[in-house]
Amino acid sequence: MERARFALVVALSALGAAPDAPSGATLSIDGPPAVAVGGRAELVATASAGGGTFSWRVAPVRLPAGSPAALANPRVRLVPRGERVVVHGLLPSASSGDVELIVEHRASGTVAEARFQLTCVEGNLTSYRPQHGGGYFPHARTAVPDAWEEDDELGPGIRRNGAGEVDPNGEDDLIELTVTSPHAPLSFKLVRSNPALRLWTTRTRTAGSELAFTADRSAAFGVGTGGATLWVEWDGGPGLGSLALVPAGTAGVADRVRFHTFRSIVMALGGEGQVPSVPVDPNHGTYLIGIALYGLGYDAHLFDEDAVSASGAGAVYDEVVNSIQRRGVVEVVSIGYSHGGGSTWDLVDRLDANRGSIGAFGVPFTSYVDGVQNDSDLDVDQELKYPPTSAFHVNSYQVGTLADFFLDGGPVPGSHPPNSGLNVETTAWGAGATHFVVDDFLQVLDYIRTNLLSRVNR
Amino acid sequence: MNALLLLLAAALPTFREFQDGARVAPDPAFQAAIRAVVHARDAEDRRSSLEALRDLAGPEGVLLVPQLFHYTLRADTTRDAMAFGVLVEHMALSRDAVVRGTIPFLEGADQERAHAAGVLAHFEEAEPDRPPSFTVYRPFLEEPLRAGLTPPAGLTRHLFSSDAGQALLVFLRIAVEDSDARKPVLWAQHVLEDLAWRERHGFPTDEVRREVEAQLAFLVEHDAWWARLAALHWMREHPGFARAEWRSRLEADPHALVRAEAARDAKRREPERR
Repeated sequence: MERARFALVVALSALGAAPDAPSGATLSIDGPPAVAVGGRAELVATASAGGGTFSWRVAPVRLPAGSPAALANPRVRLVPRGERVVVHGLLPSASSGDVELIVEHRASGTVAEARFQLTCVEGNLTSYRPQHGGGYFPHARTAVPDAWEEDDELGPGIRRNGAGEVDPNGEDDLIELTVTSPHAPLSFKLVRSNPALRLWTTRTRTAGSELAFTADRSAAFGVGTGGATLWVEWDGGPGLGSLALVPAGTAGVADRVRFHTFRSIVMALGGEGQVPSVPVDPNHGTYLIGIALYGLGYDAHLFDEDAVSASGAGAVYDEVVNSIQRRGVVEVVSIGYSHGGGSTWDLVDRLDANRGSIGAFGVPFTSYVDGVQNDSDLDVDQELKYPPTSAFHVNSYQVGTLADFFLDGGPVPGSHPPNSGLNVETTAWGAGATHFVVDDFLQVLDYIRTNLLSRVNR
Repeated sequence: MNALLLLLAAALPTFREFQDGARVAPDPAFQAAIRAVVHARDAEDRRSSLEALRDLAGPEGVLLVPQLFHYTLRADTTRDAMAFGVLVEHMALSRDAVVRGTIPFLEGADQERAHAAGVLAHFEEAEPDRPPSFTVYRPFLEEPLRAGLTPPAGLTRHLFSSDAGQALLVFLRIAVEDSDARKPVLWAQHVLEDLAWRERHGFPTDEVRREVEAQLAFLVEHDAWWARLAALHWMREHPGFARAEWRSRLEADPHALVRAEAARDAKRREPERR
């Protein structure tokens, strides 16, 4: 995250010691101080006193040039239960300087004083969105924005990869994690909050490339000037888990990312002749939605609709079934345009027909844009059937004319907007639409995206 | 049949040409004519373009189908990609013309085969609860099978990989007329279909394991190459029931198509052997 670039990591040594306190009260200043994430240095003083008023004074610190005013006038916070003094502040990037801290127990006149040398060490974690097969295609390699990397929903999602996992496209369930530091070469460790998190130096978990953990703290690894790349695996039940970046030999956290295991899988199926590409064709509206959802922390897959056969079988079905049976996915979403709408029906119908062998799952959301049945590449019939068991179906369509060979979707009873979807030609923005442009209207895409976001877990 | 139809029929692939992988090449005039219809400026332009295409297409559009196949194979927009279905409907092209014009492309490269399968699915009518129907292919199978020959390899591969059970039934009914002689193969097909049904709906399969293995062994050792090919496809779909000795036997099968498919499976399994 952005603030992590200013994380203060290490107070290397205490240069002074607290004098003995008079009888009835003791004071000491701990070192090296713990430093929390977020550009906040914490110098911790502990105290005990024999009663009376207990107050604190922290002397201004001697700072490197250019230090923010916040550190020159440190705020003092008394944590009642622990009787701790905490000094908050910032140091400029890659700077170091002496900090003096004086703590006084005014009632007894007890004073503790210490001087620390602080060094600001930057370290940054960047996690990426999930892989597909041997790389990221049909998505581009997409970093999770710094501002979202600790968010339980918008942060990095990860597929569970436990025993028995079947990878139809090869091992692609590990999440890329890069580590950089302007002070490299430097050694770091990663501290995990959930033992399901495992780290590898290879994307396919090559034997001998796993980073060992002891008490949830990894072995030290080197970060060179070009950074380091690790691969994160989730080997366990569903949940959340963080990785904290700690410079070796310290307790300070330079950066942290938080992973959520996927509960859902989203399938975006284009129309006939539309194939996923990088960069995406701006006229392929269904893929635009899929890419947006991918960037928002969903496990979103983009497929040529021909990957769903007339019986619903094929690569898309295999991917969904594998995710339910092996990764704990319980929510299946499919959206499609033209033949992709017909394929959405075929897929969901097959999933429902074979439910007995697949396992528990729901279909919280589906969508057609000008859905055309896809019983074959020749099929030009409207897809007017509601996807079986879908909890919420969005339907958008136009009315075909000679200009688009009379290709169109149509009303699907029970879908949204009520009661059978939206004929976009009844709107000001969609008047005169043809089959070939109806999937490109921002209004159509926004309606799908907004309703999906509010109904589907990551 | 008049002379023109005879001429047109001669332009289409015969069984032997299927065997040689003969496919109609894209014709620039046809491709331009199709494009003119698909990208017509207005209704009048579309009407005249359509008339010009009809003139080229010949009776029942038999010459048009392979050209539509090529046009949509290369399509990169929905407008172009939907042209095949749209023109089949607008020009009322017959099922026979579309099937006959498309089957040769099953002999082609992966992309051609996939597109051909996508077109032919129109006549197979598969659903999750209903297997595909292969009745439409009987005319292309009867002549070679009754002559003791192998039907077009691409079509054969397509049928067995789409649904080995239904393919086996079609081949059985064409090649074996005696009802008693059909029964052992029918029973094997029934047992193996029951296995697939159990797996699809989450019923236990252990209780039928012995019978499944017996029927697979029966098919693996069957005299008819298409029965052995069905066994190979079933083992592909249900690898938990496959035996190494059966696989080895099929890899050395006397029939070239069975041998080739077995070799392909062996290659797919290479990573797990390492």
